[in-house]
Amino acid sequence: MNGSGELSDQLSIGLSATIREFLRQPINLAFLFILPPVVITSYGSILSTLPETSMATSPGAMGATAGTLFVAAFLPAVIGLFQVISARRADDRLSLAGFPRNVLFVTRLLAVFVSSLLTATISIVVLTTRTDVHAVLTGGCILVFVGVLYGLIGMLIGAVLPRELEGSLVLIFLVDMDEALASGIMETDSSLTKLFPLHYPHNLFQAAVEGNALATGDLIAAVLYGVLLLTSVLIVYTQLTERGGVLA
Amino acid sequence: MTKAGTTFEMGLREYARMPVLLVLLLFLPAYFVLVFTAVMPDQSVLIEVPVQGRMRVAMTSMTAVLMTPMASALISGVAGLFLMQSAKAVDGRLTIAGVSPSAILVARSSVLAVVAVTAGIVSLVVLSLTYVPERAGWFLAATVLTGLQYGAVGVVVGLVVNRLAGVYVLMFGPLLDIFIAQSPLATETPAIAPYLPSHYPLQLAFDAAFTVRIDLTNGWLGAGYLLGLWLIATYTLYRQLHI
Amino acid sequence: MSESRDQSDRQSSDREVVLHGSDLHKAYDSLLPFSRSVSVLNGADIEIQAGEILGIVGANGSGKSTLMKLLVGAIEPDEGAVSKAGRVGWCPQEDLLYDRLTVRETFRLFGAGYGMDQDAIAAACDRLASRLDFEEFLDYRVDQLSGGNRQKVNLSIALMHEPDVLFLDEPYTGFDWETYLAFWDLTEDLKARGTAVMIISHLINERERFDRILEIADGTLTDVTDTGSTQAGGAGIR
Repeated sequence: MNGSGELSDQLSIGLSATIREFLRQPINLAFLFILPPVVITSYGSILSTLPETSMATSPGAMGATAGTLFVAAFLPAVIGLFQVISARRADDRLSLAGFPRNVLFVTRLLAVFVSSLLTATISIVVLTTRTDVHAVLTGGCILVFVGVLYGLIGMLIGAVLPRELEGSLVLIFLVDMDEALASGIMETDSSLTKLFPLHYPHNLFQAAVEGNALATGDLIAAVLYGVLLLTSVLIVYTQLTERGGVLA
Repeated sequence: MTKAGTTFEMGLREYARMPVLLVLLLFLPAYFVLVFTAVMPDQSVLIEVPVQGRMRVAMTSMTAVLMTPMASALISGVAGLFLMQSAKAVDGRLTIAGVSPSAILVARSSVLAVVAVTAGIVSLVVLSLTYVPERAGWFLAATVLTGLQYGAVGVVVGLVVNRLAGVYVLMFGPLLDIFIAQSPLATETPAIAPYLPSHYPLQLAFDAAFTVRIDLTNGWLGAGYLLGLWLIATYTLYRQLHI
Repeated sequence: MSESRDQSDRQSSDREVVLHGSDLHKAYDSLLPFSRSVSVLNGADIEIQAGEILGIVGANGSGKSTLMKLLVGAIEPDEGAVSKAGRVGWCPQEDLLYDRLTVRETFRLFGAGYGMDQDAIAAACDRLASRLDFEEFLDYRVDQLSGGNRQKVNLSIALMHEPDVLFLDEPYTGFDWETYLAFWDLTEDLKARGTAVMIISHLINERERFDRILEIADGTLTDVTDTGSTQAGGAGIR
């Protein structure tokens, strides 16, 4: 009893400390609210200049959808990365004070989840002003999933490369490439694209927006991807953060 | 050696002592251009080339040409962001020692220029495995110019906001600018495109990649835009070092 | 002791004023509403004379480091003015150094800033490394040094160009006993040479080393040389 009570105390204290630390830099909060409408609107407006294709969706709507997925992914990704890197010394000290590494991991993950929830909510609301979204709740859930997925990737990069410059470079290249390939702006025909995190969630999100049924194959693949990523990140995080990352 | 020269030399030494960064400087542009080339279908596509008008090119070539300056922009933008951020406090001490803020900016800009040129060369070499631009020298110049512009954007962002916010800007900005707004697939130029940093360098890049003719006006306008960005960076640095 | 202090007072009034700060005001404001605005200095006046060792004491957050940054020129006052005669050296509380440069390279960089030629830089580097005992670390990167050695380099950078006024913020953090004594030997040499030295310290327990001690409280400065700090007991230790 005491064990589980102590655990939930640690989690709630850790989570509230993380959130407070984030919120006390107003610029972070400002970006969290400003970027979704800016990204989604920009994508939608600019991509409307692309030629109409045989796809059911207009380029503008496709652009807004792609922008929504992008912002839902990259905001929590950066939060995940910086949480792990910036808090490394504090986490070492917390660990000495009695916070187990896996509890710290869950705390960081919960913070990523909260940021994903917030970003997803704002993003889906903005998207509904740009285009018809047939399954809003489903779409929102997919966005939260994408946020957590990329938050985990941010945490993984932060654990392996615990330096802000190098970690940011890797994350930016990964996110931008994934977004460019998944956006649908350029048709691709390689199975290599299926290895990228946004591939299956993009198909699912597109289906939710257009009111089509979610393909079971895409759903299973996305969930499996998430589970594998979660397991890998947990192992890597708890092992490497004790040793200061690959660069230690 | 001048103060700016010594500051530049030491800045370069600092960068050279980050082996992971050096590896990423070589690996990331290569990864970027090669993966895009690998996943594109083997078909042709109609694009808008500024000096030529509409022309049909291979999809792989178009993508690789578009992604090369983008790789340079991302590398230089992030380098600019962290270059100023990490050195901000110590640069303040250096100005008290007698190195003027403008000398510091010249030195840091020079380091960034080295980064942009290196990223540009690596990207061009990788591009050449798929497609060799018609005017490779001008294409390299356009790529480096794009990198320098985003390096300047990174510097300004690094001075004004924190690192997390800076990474948001650099994650979103070049992608929106280069991949979306400057896309040669567009049938009409988005209204915002000419005001974005990479517009003129990318016009030059596409001309140099697919034709033997280039319009140097794009180069001059791009250089002018770069000058404007650096003036903003200079003003911001002076403000930061005299709070 | 009283006679020597009277003599010292007479001598101090004859010394050249090398730095003058008048009516200094500084507040840290936030652009955001509902955020705390912190007023640190409210009309502080200070004069530093050539060849004197001046101690600055005050409670945590009283504005000691802010005062020093204003006098050095690292930040601008909201009101008031600072005038300096001569070269300034500043050793900040945190070691502001470039982590990936070696100690020697750090001397080269800051020496170039001070306008010193290569020979003078090399001589200063060797002299200070010998004096403060970090000769074996000259080719080490700054991020490879222990805290104490980093502080030695931090201090040396402030001294290398033989400044007329030296500002030291908690200069002996991390020093071992020998280095602490070497530091005071060095300070006495600087004083004899006519260099003014202003030291922020929490450890003014060797009061006779200081010509004057000023205390910052409520944004202004008070001479507590004879009366002792309000923050400390009679020995001056907090």
